Amino acid sequence: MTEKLRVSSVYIVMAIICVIVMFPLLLAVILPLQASDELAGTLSPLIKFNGDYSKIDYIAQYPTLDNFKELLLYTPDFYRVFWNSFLITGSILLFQTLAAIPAAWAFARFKFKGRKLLFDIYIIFMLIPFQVTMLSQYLVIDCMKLMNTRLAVILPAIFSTFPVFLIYRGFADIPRDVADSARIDGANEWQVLRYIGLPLGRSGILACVVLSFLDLWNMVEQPLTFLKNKRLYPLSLYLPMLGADSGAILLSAAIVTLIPAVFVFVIGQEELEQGIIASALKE
Amino acid sequence: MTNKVFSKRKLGYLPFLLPSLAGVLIFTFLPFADSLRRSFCTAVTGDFVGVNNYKAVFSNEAFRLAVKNTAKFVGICLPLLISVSFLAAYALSRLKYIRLIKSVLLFPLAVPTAALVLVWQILFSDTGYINNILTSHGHSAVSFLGSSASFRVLVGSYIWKNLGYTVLLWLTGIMSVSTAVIDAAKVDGANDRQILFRIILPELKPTLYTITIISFLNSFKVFREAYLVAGAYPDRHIYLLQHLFNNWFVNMDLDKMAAAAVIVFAVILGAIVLLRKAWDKEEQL
Amino acid sequence: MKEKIKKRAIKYFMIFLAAMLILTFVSRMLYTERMPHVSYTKLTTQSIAHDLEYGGTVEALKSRPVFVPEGLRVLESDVECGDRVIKNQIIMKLDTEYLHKKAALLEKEIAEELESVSAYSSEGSIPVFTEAGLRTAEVCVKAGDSVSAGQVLLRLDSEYLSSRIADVQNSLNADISTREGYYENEDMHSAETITNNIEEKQRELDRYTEIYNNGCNVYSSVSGAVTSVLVKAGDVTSDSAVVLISGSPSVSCVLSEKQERLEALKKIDETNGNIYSPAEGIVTSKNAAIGELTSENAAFIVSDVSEGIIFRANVDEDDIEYISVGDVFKLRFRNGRIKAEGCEVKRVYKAADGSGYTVELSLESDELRAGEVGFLKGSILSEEKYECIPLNAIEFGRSETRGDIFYIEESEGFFGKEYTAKKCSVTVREKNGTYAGVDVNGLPPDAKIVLSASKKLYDGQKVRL
Repeated sequence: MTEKLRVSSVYIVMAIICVIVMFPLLLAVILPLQASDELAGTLSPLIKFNGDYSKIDYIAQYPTLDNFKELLLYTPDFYRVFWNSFLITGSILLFQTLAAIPAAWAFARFKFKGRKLLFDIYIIFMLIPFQVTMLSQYLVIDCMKLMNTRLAVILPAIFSTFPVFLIYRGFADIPRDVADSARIDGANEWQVLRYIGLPLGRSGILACVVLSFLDLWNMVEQPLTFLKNKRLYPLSLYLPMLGADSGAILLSAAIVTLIPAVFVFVIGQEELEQGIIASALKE
Repeated sequence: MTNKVFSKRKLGYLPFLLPSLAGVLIFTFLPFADSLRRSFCTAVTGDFVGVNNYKAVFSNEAFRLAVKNTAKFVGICLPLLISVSFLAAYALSRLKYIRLIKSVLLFPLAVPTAALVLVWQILFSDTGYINNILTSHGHSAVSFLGSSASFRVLVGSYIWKNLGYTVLLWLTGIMSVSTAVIDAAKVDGANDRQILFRIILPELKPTLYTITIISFLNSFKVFREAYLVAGAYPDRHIYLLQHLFNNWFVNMDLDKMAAAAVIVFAVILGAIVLLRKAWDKEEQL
Repeated sequence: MKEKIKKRAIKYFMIFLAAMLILTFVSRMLYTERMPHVSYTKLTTQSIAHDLEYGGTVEALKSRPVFVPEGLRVLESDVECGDRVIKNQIIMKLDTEYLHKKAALLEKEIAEELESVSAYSSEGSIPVFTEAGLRTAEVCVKAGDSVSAGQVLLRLDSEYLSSRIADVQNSLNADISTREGYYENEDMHSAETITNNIEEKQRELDRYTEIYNNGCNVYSSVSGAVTSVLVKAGDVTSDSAVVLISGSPSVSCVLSEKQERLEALKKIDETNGNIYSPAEGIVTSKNAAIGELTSENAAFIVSDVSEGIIFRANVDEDDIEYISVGDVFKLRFRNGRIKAEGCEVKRVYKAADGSGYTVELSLESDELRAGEVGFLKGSILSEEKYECIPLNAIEFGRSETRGDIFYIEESEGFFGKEYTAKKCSVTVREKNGTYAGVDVNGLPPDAKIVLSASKKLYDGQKVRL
């Protein structure tokens, strides 16, 4: 009996925690569906305080899709920003993976001199917040005349060390013998990578992709520093730019921003979990 | 033949490594070395001034404040997160239907910060919803973003975001403790507490290490929330190192930035090395 | 199960992306639809040209009105407005019988009035006195008669006079004797007193005697007209004047008017009721109809072209400030076949009927006739140069001089150049029908001013060109 009680109480506690965790997201979803006059009750105290505090109608009296309509049909700026984000995130992901896979393979398969040191350096740079290297990166980019272009954001991110680390984890799981046997059969290292490493390290790669996507879709510091032209802004900077005055549009845009992230999350949750686990277990 | 193979093998890693390494060199490593050089020079003229910049940085009020805040934040958040998530993970480990809960907890990680900025503002601003509830019940309004409460808000948002991730990690660690040992202990008459403290916890040291590192990494990411919600010059209590760097950058105080960057780098490096030494039981690679 | 979810999720994600792609274009289209289309213009610095175009008529420099006494019946009138007449041409014939009747009536009235004392005004009349205490036998003049100096005004009763003389003589003699007595009595005082009486009486006696010797008449001392006779036959004279004579007698107003009218009627009678044109010219106004009675206004106005022609136009009050004496305009006649240039404004005055102003311009032409209609065309440039914008770009509120305009601001947006319409208020300094010269408060000189928009604009709205 106590067991059952304990179990159910734990469930309940967990449920409460879950509700609290989901609460902001709940708000983010129901608010854009409200008509502007109800929304004004929520938003206008933020703009100009006139004695009333922000109030939230949980069940909208006049649910409407107007906000989304306004955003999706009448604000072409949004699409530019959306595709900016997409372009930046996509290209980084692609090239990042392309660069990181071989490097991780190298770390996993070869015991070369200075391997440990280099790897440690990689880890350290992974852990340092952007601001520390911000200055130096800025100087390099300025030197290359890439300032205020999308490349300024894309290039440094391609060579981030985080994916190397994650993918390395995935490759490190592969037993040596499997790879060695392939070599004996006459394959060169590239073929080993392609036919053995990739399939076996798939979970690590996917985990890396998913995590990176979530991180990049959210990227704020780099574009803030390196991009001046508003035409090049990604979604993560566009949203704060709107402010509470265009609160309705902001909320709808936030939902649309959420959607790809949710998609990726749903698609990749399993890989994500496995990737996280994999990176943890081996430390 | 062997020689060739050997030598080929010796350098065989290069083409694999090169793209990444080249990039890292160009975009991260070398620039940082340049920063190092700059930290000993002035911003404008490039003269060698020794440790002047370092002195300037250390005596800078804002730097001190930022360091204090950041250290405080890390010092509070990490243990808090680790313990809370452990408790949750432990509780969850007893349950069976945890798939949904895991998804829910993991979800905030996927949510882009920018999407929630307005929601945070609605909830926490001076005229926000939580204040609404407070005042309507007779309490006075709390300035969540403009006073020491802001610190707690930031800690809260950090935990909100990273709870799922950490719980997952703990769960994995807990689950990996071989059931054989637990069953044996149960047979020996150990109760849950003893099992927990004697068997499970020691096994979790590596997990703890990983969690610490990753949480530490993520704690810097909290700057995003602070910046988007409270701006470049937030309340004193949440003025972090990143704010400082950002503002120095905007003002082009390059020499101070370089010196501070080197300092921060050194601190983090030291922390990592310490952690390593403390938890390094097994071969790293 | 998981695989299915994943596959589905991937599919939905692709659909989502495709939808976003489509919506990108759709939204761009809709956004463009919504944006108002504007046309713009720039500020020009120029003087405001006030185009004036007014119609007017050619008139003779001199206009002769023809007045006829009112109240007469028109028998014939052959000329009409616009006819050309020569000097002394018969333009109207009045009914002479009617006229005679009227004249006779008038004469009678005048005569009656003259009889009454109130006919004349006694201002400036000289009184004529005579000895008091005498009896008037006959009054020889009446009011209105003109007399000359020495003319007999009154005849006095001679018998009365002689008896008077005798009385005075006796009294005088008595007084003299009395005086003698005083002298003998050595009463000098009484003697003196009575001497005065004696001398007075003697004087009186002399006067009476004189009058008697002159025929017992009272004569006028001046020439003039008798304005009033103050005694009647049989009255005894007193100290006051007997007759008032005026050197220049003035009749009362009404009477004098009547006399004048009578004169005028007589004059017309002389010409048998014909009214003649005073000059060669054009009849520009006719105010008499056959069978009707004349009025006191001018029956005709004949413009005398011999002296020259002018152009007269009626100008609105709004435009009159731009025309001043000395300005030169072009005049156009007969659908443009005749053009006169360099016509100078000679006079500007308020129109008789109060609606605006009349402007007279000098005009020289051999061909033009009085009465012809022409057009005045001219363009006056304002002296100052203003920043000008078309009038329809300005939105006026309640005031006539302050209005709002929209101008376009360029900015960099997400897709390239963006244009925002901003409102700005301007003060109009001077305007004509199409342009307004304004005061630009803070507007950049090469600003694009919105001329027209496909939708109503508001401040800060995004527009496209």
